[in-house]
Amino acid sequence: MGKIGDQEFSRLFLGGNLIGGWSHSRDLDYVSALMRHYNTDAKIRETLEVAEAHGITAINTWVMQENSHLFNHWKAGGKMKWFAQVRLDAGGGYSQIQKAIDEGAAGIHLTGDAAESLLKEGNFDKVGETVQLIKSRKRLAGVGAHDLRVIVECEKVKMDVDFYQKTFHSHDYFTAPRPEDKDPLGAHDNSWCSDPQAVIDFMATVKKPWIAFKILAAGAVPPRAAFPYAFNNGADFILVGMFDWQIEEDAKLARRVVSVVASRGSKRTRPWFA
Amino acid sequence: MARQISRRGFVKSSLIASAAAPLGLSGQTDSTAQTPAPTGAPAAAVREPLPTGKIRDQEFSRLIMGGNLIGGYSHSRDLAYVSTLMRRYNSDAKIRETIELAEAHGITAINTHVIQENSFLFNHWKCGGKMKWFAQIAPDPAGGYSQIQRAVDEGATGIHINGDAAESLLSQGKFERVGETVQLIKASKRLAGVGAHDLRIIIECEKAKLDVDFYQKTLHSLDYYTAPRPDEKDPKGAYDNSWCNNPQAVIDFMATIKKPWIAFKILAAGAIQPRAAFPYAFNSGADFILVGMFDRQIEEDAKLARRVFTVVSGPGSKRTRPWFA
Repeated sequence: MGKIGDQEFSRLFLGGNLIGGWSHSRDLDYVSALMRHYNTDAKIRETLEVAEAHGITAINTWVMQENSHLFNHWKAGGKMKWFAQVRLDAGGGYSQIQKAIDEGAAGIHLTGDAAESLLKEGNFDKVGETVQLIKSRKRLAGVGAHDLRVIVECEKVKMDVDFYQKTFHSHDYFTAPRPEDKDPLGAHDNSWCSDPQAVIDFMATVKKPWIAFKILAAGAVPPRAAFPYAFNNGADFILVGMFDWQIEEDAKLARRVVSVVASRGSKRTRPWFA
Repeated sequence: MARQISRRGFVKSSLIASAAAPLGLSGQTDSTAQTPAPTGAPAAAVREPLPTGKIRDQEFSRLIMGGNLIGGYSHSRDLAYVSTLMRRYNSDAKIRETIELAEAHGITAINTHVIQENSFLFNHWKCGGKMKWFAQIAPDPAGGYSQIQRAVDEGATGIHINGDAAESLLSQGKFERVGETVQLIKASKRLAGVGAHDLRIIIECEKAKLDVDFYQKTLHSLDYYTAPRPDEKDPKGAYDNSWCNNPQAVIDFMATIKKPWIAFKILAAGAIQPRAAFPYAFNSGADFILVGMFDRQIEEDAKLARRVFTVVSGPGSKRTRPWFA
């Protein structure tokens, strides 16, 4: 477990992409539909319960996706905490933040694509506004990013975030970006961390909890490689999309890896910030 | 206890469910659901037949159903979880539903490996289904042909050595054994074919004048992101990402072949859309296409196959290879 603000969370979070049907499966378009057909309402509910039973205490989903399975889990006595992703309204408003608060989110953060879009448009001050607004409502406030420049900017302006959620994965997989592909996001739905070493180096200087996401590069990097890579390189939490049948094994692996990384002789040099 | 339903009712309810459910919710089946018990009810009427072609004296729909999605062989590059997801989605009941849907949409043949779990097909037959079976086989490790006998015993209409096995025999200098499989299959009065990823297999078969009834050869363009990179020249991609390293060479050589050609892996295991792959295959000379399909894809693919075949067999078609089936 680790703490963000005054709240405790399992170091392994459940991601929402598999539940939402966003497979990021490169040129294999059918996989998203297959996920949606597999993950029926009943199966999603089962997945949440399995996750909780295996010690996972938080899930991350977008506030605008179908989240009734989570609300039903709560109604039935479930305690899974919710990190809600938000984007700005088309007109620039913050109604998604209000919706996340009203619906019971413990933590709220602007999504990476939204933050990157604001940075590109020269409206980065709006990222700070979201953080202020979220904090004023007594929720944990974060910023998400695929592009490291978002975190760099947040630190530059000393934004008072409670956590960062930054992508992090190696390029050691077949569909990784080719040498000429340098964009923060792979052009073929194939990469979300263009320069992992730069992320390691910069996050080493950041004194806020870091939730690392897309650590499996959407399924291409096996957990047994990705979990140690993330924790050894400074992540305080990992956010991992899992099907029901993967949870038990991933939870066991996370326990084992955290125990090694947190012990003496660990390769980790970044202090734990959670 | 499995719910007893008639085949006609099974297909009808499946089709209604598929049509009525919203995107993302249709086709829901508990992975623990049981295969419906055979009832012996009459087969469902084919709603709209597909165009057909003949291999020797037997007629088959030009769209043949592949067995990889049913078997859980996703060939999903570095996304290892997809095969498991397929196997979990395709419960016994779902596979049964899939084959009934295929038949209802005019598909008359399926291709699976003889040693994979094929009870869904045998149950389909017990209930009056008429789907014909092309069975893939490989020689026994000790060199025997027990898989051919098994395919014959279990009711295969057509039998072929698979590409991996044929390629292995070629690389070991034992290509005469491919001819032995063809002879043995024909002696059992079944349609005899040869499967290949590597075009050299077909070339060798023709050189040896093997008396095959059909060839089953991969064909796909290289127009997709995970296609082999320019320096990768092997017949099969090293990352479970390609099965036809030189499609133009295949088109050119198959243009000289006077045997039915079943083209397979035409979607490059899901990377190429059917709307691109179906015309590409038929325009390039394929007589049949073999396509793995989930239940929800069958209706649309069958419609597309009908449309594409009408165009390709019509006047002004780009196809130059005569139909050999």
